[in-house]
Amino acid sequence: MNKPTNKPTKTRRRWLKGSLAAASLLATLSGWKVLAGADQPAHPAAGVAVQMADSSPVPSVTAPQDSGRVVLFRGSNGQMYLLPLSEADPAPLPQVDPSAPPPIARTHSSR
Amino acid sequence: MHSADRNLHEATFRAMGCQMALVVATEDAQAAAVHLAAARSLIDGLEDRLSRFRTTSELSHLNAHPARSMPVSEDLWEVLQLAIDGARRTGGLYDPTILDALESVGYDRPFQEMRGENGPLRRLTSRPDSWREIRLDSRARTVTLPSGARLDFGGIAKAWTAERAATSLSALGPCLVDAGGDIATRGAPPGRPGWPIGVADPRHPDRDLTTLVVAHRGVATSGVDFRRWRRDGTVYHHIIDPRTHLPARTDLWSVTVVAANAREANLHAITALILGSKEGLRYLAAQYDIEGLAVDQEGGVRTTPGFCRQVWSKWIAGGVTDG
Repeated sequence: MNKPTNKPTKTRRRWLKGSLAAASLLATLSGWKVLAGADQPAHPAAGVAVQMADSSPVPSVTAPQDSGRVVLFRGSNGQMYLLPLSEADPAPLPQVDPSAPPPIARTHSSR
Repeated sequence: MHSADRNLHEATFRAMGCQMALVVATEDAQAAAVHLAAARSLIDGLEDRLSRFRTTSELSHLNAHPARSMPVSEDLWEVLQLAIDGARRTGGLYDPTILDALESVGYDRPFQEMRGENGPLRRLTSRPDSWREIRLDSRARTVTLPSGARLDFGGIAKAWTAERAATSLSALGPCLVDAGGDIATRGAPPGRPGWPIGVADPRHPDRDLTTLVVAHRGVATSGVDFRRWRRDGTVYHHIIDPRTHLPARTDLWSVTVVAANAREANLHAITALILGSKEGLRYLAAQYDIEGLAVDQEGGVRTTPGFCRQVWSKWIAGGVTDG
């Protein structure tokens, strides 16, 4: 009886690794930066999100926030940044503690 | 009332075209009165220098002499440096040279005195990005404005003033300075994790969207909900988009930012407001040590992921009991 072979899986993995390496090299050459760790500038520049990229399947409800989805961001200095979408996703407003004291001041547009 | 709140001393007055409130926590009522009066006097003095509505102000004098090297005070110099730095960091979305554009759409007098005048918009004499052409000589402390450009620091000057007053008051104790909604804090009231600060709902100004807990940080809100007026049937507001030199076409009512100080909060709030809901939230999320809340024109409220840390929730204030 012939043993089942895992050759197609290996080929797929090799192809995937090669694609990721090529994409990474391309990103580096294009001057993209990942906004993380030591590369993060003290004041990341103002900018405009220009497109979205999705490197993962749609996350399940229990998936952690760092699901790999990123947004491509162009800084005012022309530099391109990759920002994890979990950081850019809007979040709901949490509930105020019912026993919170009344505000001492209020913030609003200038008046 | 929390026992410590009985030791909060307050002064309220109008300055810089808005309502000011100074609050300091101390058991010494006499010292509080002296320090509050000194902080108020500081604010009045800064308004004399920085107001664009006072013809005798140092700012008006500078604006009246473009293309000439003008000596300026340390205060004006400091605010101008901050403004130019803010313009650089926001790619010009905050621009201290938009006074001409503001006046051209009708905001040429204190807001309380505007009467909804009609007639064509005045022609602009300034050029886009004029702030890049401002020449500073730090040795002589002189400023040369490019021809046609005039300065209005907007909320940055107010937030800077709030920070100055807070520094002055903090010699006595924990304090809060509210400059028309831009708020600087030093420390926290005794027994509290921070100052409870409401975020007004721009659609229902008498209601709050949430209560923040803020200690030794700044809060500011930029919005198109209040300073707006009608001219020839068109509604204008005071947030100018420097890219068009017209009121920003934003889908947001307001943006509230909590930052290391009120100046930073103000700078990023106005930038996010101009960028609009999608890009504005992403912009805020990309900034270091900044959290924000945006209210869109359909009433939707969205925040940056870490904003929850600023909200007075049971997780933040749970360990503190009322005394």
